[in-house]
Amino acid sequence: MIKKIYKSILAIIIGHITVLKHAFKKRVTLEYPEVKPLLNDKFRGEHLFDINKCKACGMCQKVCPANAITIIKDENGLNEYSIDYKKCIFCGNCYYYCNFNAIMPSSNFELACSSKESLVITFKKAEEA
Amino acid sequence: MINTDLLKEYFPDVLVYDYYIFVEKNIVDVISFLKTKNYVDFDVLSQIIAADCTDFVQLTYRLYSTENNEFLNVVTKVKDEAASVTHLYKSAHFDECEIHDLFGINFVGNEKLERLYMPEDWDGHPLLKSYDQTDERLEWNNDQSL
Amino acid sequence: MTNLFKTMEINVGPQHPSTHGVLRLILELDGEIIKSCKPVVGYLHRGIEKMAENRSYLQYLPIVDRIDYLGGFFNSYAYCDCIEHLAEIDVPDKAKYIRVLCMELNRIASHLLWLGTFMLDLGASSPLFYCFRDRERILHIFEALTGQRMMYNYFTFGGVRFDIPSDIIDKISVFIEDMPECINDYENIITDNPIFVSRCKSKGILTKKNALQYSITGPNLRASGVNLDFRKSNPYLVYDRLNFDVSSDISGDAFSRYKVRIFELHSSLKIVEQCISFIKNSSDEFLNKSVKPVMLNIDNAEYTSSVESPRGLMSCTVMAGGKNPYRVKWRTGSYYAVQVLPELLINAELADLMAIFGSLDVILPEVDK
Repeated sequence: MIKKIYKSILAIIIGHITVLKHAFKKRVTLEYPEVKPLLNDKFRGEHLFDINKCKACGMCQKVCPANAITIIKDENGLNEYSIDYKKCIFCGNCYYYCNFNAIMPSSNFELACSSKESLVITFKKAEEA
Repeated sequence: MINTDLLKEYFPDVLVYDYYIFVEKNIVDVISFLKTKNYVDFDVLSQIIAADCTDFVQLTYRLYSTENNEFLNVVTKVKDEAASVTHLYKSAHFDECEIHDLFGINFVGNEKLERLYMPEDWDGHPLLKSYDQTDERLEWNNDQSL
Repeated sequence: MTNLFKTMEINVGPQHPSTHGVLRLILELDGEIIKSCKPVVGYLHRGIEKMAENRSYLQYLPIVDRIDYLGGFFNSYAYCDCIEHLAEIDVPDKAKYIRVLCMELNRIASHLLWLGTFMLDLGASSPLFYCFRDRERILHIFEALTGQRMMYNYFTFGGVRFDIPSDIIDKISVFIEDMPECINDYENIITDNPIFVSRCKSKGILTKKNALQYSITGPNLRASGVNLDFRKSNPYLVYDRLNFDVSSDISGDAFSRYKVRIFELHSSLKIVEQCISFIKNSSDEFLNKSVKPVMLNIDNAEYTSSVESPRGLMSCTVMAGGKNPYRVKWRTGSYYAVQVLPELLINAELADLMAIFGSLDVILPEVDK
């Protein structure tokens, strides 16, 4: 009985010493809005779209699991390209399978906005002068 | 490998292709034979797989033997009604509830049978190929104004 | 007077903070003693099996990561294995080692999260922070490797998407050097602590017979005295070439489930070490470039893969039907662990509910699918 109590007290003391040891370790958390996390270039955030590279082949539409991409074509090729962030699940299939590197990932993850309409991002071909 | 000769002796009309056994009827007898009488005892029912083949539902009972580390699939066809195996393997209860919910198969002998995922008053059985999403609670899904 | 002999029905969940997701338990209490328990699942049902039927094989690949979000690599591998088997795609050796490396790191991350939340359920808050701090290091490695912290979409048909850069290998080597000391610290705080021991020893005993009857797999089964690990018994990938140990315990209570998982952290680290030494010296391809995943077309066939996930046997059945899967069925470990809960809770005290439930390591998205 006394042995058991002795063992329990010893275990608690060892536990407390371990916890105390951890109190002096380096801080790992970030104060988020002021300090931004460092993200690598592979991070799948907001899409960067280059309308001049896009050939409107429809590959991104074909591999998108959520049907988030709409392509409107006319006789001159691509006219309008839009990504619906209400549907997008950020799987990255669209840039993994794009043959022309027209769509690329970016590390912008702060996509919160105040209206539903601004979640659909549309790229339009510039009118030629 | 399982002893197919012994199985064929008891059940002459089963078809055996390496790890698949096709059974027309008496599925519970075959499974209880595989669990107890065969020299490899399949002590775990890993899962029950259901698939809708338009005019019938195919049930695959996936058995596992912890002694021989072997899987065995017992395949049968059912229509609306099937026999429960909960008295042989207790793990079958959730599987049967799920198949009842998603395929509309009624398992005779399972008293606690109920819908597992969907609400009690849900129309239709979602994993059937004939299921069309007409439930009014899904309307928000198609609403373009949102 | 008559009320004294009546039992009381109470409801736990679905939004109870300790249920690790959304599980509802209907309990019947006689004073403090639980007389019956009925789990109600389905609050997180997303129809993942139905989603496969109107998507191509490639479109379904990112979605499978969401089945068990703490072990995304295991889901991805189970699905990729099926497709590779059905379409007869060869996987290079290096890709196999990278897959094992990712999966074992994922197993450590998953067990660390379990350990932290389990201790929080029992009222110890500091292990939670230590576990999350160390898990964060793994997630940083995954973020640098795959592009995201939890929904990786990294495995693809025929290998993995990117090669593993040397700076990430260095990061992993540093991590596996530091980790044994961290695990030692957890054990110092937890294992001998008299409060933890008295709350876990001989609580929620799962007998060997019941575990097999209820089709329990993974660490929960090994804690009940059945030494069944699908990495050993039905080896997949390169597990037959790796040297690692599997631990089992006979008592089957919450404490032995804890011990088995702590041991698994050590054996996973050992596997990661062996994978790194192979990947460093290998000049193999990381992806079978001859595969055309977008236009994949598979004739009618069926295959079931079996993967040892942190929560037991995970298997994916794909019935191919041309351009898209005809039917996909997932078998997950937690699904059966929820089912055994009423058996463990009968005649237990209400205060032990979370100790027993937490020790089973149930993840609800995996149950509801």
